[in-house]
Amino acid sequence: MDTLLEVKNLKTYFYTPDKREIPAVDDVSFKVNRGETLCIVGESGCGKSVTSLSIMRLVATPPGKYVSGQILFEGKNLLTMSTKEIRKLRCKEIAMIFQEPMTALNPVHKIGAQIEEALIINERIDKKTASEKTVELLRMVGVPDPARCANSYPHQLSGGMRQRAMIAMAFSCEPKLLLADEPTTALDVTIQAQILDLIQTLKEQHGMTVVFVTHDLGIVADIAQRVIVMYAGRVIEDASCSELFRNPLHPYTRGLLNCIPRIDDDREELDTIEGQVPTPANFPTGCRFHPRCPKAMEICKCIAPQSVDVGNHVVACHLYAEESNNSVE
Amino acid sequence: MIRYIIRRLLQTVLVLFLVMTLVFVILRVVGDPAKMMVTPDSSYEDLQNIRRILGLDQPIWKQYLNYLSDVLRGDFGSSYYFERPVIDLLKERLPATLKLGFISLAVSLPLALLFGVISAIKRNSLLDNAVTTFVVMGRSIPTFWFASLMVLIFSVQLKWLPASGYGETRQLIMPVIAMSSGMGASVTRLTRSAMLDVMRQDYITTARAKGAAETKVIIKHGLHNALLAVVTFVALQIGYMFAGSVVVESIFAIPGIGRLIVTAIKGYDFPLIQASTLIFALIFSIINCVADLCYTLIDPRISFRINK
Repeated sequence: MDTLLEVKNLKTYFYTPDKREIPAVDDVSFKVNRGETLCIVGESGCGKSVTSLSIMRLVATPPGKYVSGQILFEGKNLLTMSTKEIRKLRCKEIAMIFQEPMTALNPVHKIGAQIEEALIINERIDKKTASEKTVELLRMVGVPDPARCANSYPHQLSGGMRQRAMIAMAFSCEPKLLLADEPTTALDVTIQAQILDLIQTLKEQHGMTVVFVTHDLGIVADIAQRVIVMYAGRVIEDASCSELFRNPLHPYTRGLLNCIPRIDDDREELDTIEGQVPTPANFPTGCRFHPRCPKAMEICKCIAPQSVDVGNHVVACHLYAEESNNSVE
Repeated sequence: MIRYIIRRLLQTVLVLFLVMTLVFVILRVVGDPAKMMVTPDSSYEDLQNIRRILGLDQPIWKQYLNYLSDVLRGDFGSSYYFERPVIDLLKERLPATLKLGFISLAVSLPLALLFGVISAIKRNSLLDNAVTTFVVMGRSIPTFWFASLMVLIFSVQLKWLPASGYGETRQLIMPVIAMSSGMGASVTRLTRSAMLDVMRQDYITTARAKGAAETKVIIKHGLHNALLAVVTFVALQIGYMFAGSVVVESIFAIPGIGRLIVTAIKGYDFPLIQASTLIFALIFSIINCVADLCYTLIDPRISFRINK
């Protein structure tokens, strides 16, 4: 299959004023094929948002820094591009939707003006055409009264409407790749479903590729073709959606899936993963999951596991490192 | 909109009325101008005579009612010291104060915004540190000291600029710097912190994600939002700046209201003090009114209807 985006060994670190290194994204690699929906799953602080911001080159530098690695979009490395080149790709080729529609829209500009701005910058059209197209876009994303919405300020709209406006903005220049950073987290469940449907429909109609960042495994099961699971700045498992749910390999992924109640469950209490997610400032040595891992071994405490491919299913865990070594022998 | 303005005007009238009353009462409490006008060898009768001529022998409530009715008829009385109608004195002196004030504003405000924005964007850079140093100095050095220092250096030592006077452009340079340094420093500091706060917001990331050029992101999305905090503050600072004209005009011998008020207070010149404080109160109120109107224009979330 045709690869649209490939992230290779990306390291995005942050540096505190007292020069401490915070490895928010540490050696992350994955591929996204054209037309595919990839979900990045993980708890808060695991680096999934920073990964998606890195793809847009939107991490603030400083304090952030792209330490090493490559982000190849259609074969071109985004990390070595000039600011001018990357600016041309933004919105036109790669667009982004954010978690909080409340704060992601500028409170002092009208919705219409904010969408028009994207059109005027990227499509080089005049203001009148842009405002006509804005109303068209708002209608497309299911805003009931698009002309009125365009003429409203963000605080006059509901969360769902604001997120639709954000999608209209992200979609204004028909990007090839849409990065959605938890776009439904701040919305209530019914609106969530509508927004997900909208993204799916737009994706199918226009053959868009979607990278969807979420912590909601229900959404993953619903929309993803491939899933990567992140923990503490690293990718720990990478598999197709059906494979991951049927046969989770990493103890963390298993733990996550065990936390979800099933409809035929007769458990009295839900499972949890013991302990806390480590903060990026003090990740444990070795496998970063080892303090919480039920299957932790001696080796896990000092040596970080390499990713191993066990048949179209990549996992970074010492349990499987042995297996693959054995099978090689 | 028009209802809002009318409402604001009524509030302004109320404020002016309160200022008038307060100043009137305080003046009657603190001193007696008649005593300033008699010579040491005058008799008690002379003193009473002067009091009667000035109308100060009447009970205070009666004086107050007379004063109010005079003011409402546009009569602010005559200055004891200059022995001329107060209104004429103010007409003479107001232009200098306003000119100095507005030039100071026109110089300091754009510079303050510019340096505030730049030092927020280039945070912790050499320029930012330099700006911060100047801000600390501007805010902490008292105007009278700073003005005297400038006179000492540029007039006495270097002989570049005239030490005092009014009329030539050269004579305005030091007064303008003295007037605007405090305000410029405060506004720079607030702009910097407001910009730092705004540039961390999600909508700035959104604007960048749109592919907008950085200058556009900073000005259109950043500064516009940062201004919300700055506008109200600037209005107050302008008020303080006009209050500072009392010091600056005295030092540089500028014939403005600031200096007039000093002369008036020294001589217990009641009608003159009353009228000039009223003028300052009026300037302050107008500026605040304008700031409120600006605010509603900049921030769509504040509407005129809130005040209904």
